[in-house]
Amino acid sequence: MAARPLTEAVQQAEEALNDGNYRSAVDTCRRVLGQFPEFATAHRVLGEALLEDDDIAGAEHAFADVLQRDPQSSAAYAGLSKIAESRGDQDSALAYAQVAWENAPRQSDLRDRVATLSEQLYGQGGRLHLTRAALTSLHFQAGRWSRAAAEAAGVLTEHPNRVDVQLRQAEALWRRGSLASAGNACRSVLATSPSSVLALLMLADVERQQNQPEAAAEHLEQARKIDPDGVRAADLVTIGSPDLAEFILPTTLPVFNDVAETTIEAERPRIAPAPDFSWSAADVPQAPDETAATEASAADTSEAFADYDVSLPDDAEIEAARPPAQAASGYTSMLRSLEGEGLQPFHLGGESEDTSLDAFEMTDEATTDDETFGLVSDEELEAARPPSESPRGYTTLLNSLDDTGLEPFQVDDAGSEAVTDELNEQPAAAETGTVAELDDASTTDMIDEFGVVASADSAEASESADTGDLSTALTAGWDDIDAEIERAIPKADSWRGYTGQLRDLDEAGLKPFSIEGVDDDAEETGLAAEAGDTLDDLSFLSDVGLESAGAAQVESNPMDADLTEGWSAVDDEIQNAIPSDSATDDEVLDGFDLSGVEPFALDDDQAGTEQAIDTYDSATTSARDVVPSDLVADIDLWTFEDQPSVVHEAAPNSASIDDIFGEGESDLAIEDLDLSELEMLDSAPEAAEETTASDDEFEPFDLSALEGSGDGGETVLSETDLDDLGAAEPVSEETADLAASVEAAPVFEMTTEPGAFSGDSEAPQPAHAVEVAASGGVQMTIEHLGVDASLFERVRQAKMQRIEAGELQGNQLLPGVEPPGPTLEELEQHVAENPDDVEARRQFATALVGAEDHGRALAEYRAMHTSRMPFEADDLESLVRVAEQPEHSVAGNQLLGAIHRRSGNLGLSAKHYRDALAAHRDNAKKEA
Amino acid sequence: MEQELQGLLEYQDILGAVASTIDGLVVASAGFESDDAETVAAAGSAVVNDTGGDDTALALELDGGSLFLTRGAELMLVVCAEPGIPQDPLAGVMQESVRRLDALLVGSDQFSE
Repeated sequence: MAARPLTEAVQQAEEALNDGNYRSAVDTCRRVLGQFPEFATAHRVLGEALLEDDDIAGAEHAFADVLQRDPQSSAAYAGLSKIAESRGDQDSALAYAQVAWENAPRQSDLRDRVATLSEQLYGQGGRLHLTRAALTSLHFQAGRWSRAAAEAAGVLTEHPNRVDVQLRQAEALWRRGSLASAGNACRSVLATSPSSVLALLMLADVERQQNQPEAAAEHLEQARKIDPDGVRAADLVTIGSPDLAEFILPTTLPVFNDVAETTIEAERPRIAPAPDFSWSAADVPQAPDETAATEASAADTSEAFADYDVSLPDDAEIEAARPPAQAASGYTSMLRSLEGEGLQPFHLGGESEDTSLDAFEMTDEATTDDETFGLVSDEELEAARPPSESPRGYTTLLNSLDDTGLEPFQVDDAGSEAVTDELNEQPAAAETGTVAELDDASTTDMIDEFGVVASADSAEASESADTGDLSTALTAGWDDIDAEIERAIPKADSWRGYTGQLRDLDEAGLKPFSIEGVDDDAEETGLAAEAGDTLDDLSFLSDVGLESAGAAQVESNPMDADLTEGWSAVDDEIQNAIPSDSATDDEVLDGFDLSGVEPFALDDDQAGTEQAIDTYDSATTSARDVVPSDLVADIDLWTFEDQPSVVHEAAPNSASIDDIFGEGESDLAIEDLDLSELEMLDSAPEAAEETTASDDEFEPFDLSALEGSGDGGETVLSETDLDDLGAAEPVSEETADLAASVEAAPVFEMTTEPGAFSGDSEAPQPAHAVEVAASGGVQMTIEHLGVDASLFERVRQAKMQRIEAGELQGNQLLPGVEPPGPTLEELEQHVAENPDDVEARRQFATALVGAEDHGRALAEYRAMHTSRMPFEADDLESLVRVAEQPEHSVAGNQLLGAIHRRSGNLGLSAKHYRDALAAHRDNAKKEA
Repeated sequence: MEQELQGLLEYQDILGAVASTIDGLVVASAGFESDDAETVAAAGSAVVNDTGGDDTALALELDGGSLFLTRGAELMLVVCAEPGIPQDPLAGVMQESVRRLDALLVGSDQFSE
């Protein structure tokens, strides 16, 4: 009988369960429960093991026992959920899983299971709501006892029978120090689950503190039976409660007397019949193996072995004891049956040919006299095999080939000679080791083939004797082949890689192919003179290190240098032919040159029937034919990036529309652009009139210059072309700033104002905020969860109601935010009274944009422009927002174009004019 | 905690605030119905998980408003706000608030009860 700590037995069961040895876990748990029938942990492990072992009924019973003792056991609820699911009761499965998750809300696997079961029941797309019971657990685990108790009370209002929640409430109250309430809650739990160990323990402590020692001792004793190892009691003990620990924890670890364990695993031979209980010590001595096994066991076990007969019977005894119906299953019976059918086992070479059954039986008996276990040998088994089932080894195969008249192949035929010659040039191998290796391999093959576990020598002797001279004749010449193989195997220090191959070729007298311009004689001379030195230089390299060291070493090898002389020129050509990833403009131009395309022309001569943009297209198309695709991409980039710079290079007063639009037909200069002409596109006559009247700086601008070519009516610039040109906007400083302020996603940094943390010793690190609105996945996830405009509206309405009810002021400004300025009406009035107040007009226009009154904002900006008021970056940003509105895109971009034209930024001016034109065409299409 | 969150609602552009765990479990809220609070907390948790959870503050411009998240040591503060709310000042306010919430969570609940 082995005594060991109870915790060790439980640990063993849990390890067996985790290792998949469910039967072992079940056995251990049942043995433990035999001594500790109330032990909650053992019930739990038993249930889990039975469930894994498909003992559903047993597992269900075990889990019910667990919940009687531990109503908060998420493992038990999870197990019951699996059982319900296995029975097709999805509703119950989900309910159990839900309770399991509520008791352990941080276990993601339980949450996932609830989600999975919910999807199976209700379909996909649902949301997993956190229940109040789970929130109770969460507050409890975070140590918020009051909140946990309050939440539990809320749950119990709706579900008064939730014992797990009752128990959590009791524990929360107990931990908070509300002894009376905790005691009552514990009694309530015990009324439903009288074996609830936590309730018993807490009630015992309450009673102890209330000076009821007898009741406390009674409950504590009851709890100790359920929690003999004190694990659950230890959960209740907090740091700084020595009196509680002294009272509630067991003073000694319980000991588990594992009776069954000592009786089962006395080590036995691998193949052992049933023990002979009629044994006496005088008959059979104990085998050495048994002695060793017995010594390895416990001392008391050894004593037990000395008193009882545990020796093993021999085969004869087994045969004698075998029932008649099963007599045919033994080896002896099988051999007898073979003999009765006239079948003879094949002869083992070199042995007696007396293979009759008597001979085997005699051998068997003789063995029985000498050995404790008289099992037949492998040779005997093979001898008993019928010839028709004899294994198809090499010898058998050769015999069968010989029977068919086939001659073994000749090793000295022409093909073999060639191979041999080639192989002869390879360095010789270390023959001894290789031969031994081959012998081992052949022996292994033979053993596998015959299925006989015999030594190599005996098998070889057997086969040799079996085949006799025939085998010798058949295997004649194999030595030569072996020798060739040996020679073909390189030595450990033999040459590897190209250098070694070249050396072999050189030794074979083969010359490398000639390279033009390379003197073969000189090569041979170099080889003859320096081959030895080179070998010496390289000989220190190991097989492993040769590969990495090879590059540098080969360069210093004169033989290789001679062979590869002239390759550098070829390599250079190849290298030149391969486009690099970082193709420069010159390389791009080379690509154009290769295609025969002339560079981009800006002269008017090329204008007319041929247009610059078409030239670009043709150039690109031609380049694509001859230049790799990655380089063509660079061409696109280069062309668009550099084109605006050409515009800037032109004289401001003489830059043609062609320079801006890549057209070539118009003779209009940039100063010929008239905003009014473009503004006519917009159906805002008052604005056009205002602009035309005041903006006398510009001459009228003929839209036909943009709309049509010289051959009339045909659109010169397609929308695609305009878009492309738009992409070619130069990245000037102003553009970059503007783009960063207007078009880029507003990435912001959450900064901490120093003043806000003054005097605080733990000044927080500046927070780093990331704008994630651009992430479509995040947006979809959030919308899927239900955070949408309606939610914002509900929250907004709720706040307004609270403000109206006087519960909130709701008008406090965030730190650092200036109070709002005057209203729009006040600004408008001020502007009307002070039309030359630039700041007032800017503020008014900005306010209009903020109020999304884009029409009035545009009119205000236009008025500012006609009044020649300066535009700041903020103004341009606001105006861009206006121009982004479809209904104001034409006029807004026209105005932006005019503003930039006046400031001298012709590139941006052209861009906005193009945008205006594109918007106009879009509007025309929509109207059509 | 509710008082702390109610204080946030005094700012004119803050509509609602939720204090939750990183897992999205609501600890306290202000300005929301209970379902909406859990929805917002779950969204905040999803965003934190989606973005890897390395950032201490996140902002999202959504249809109808803005969502701001700030992570503390124990809790995550999620705020629904009007679009266009000044982000830097809001970030500072939220960071201070979540620090106070963390202190409330650790200090008062665990030791004073």
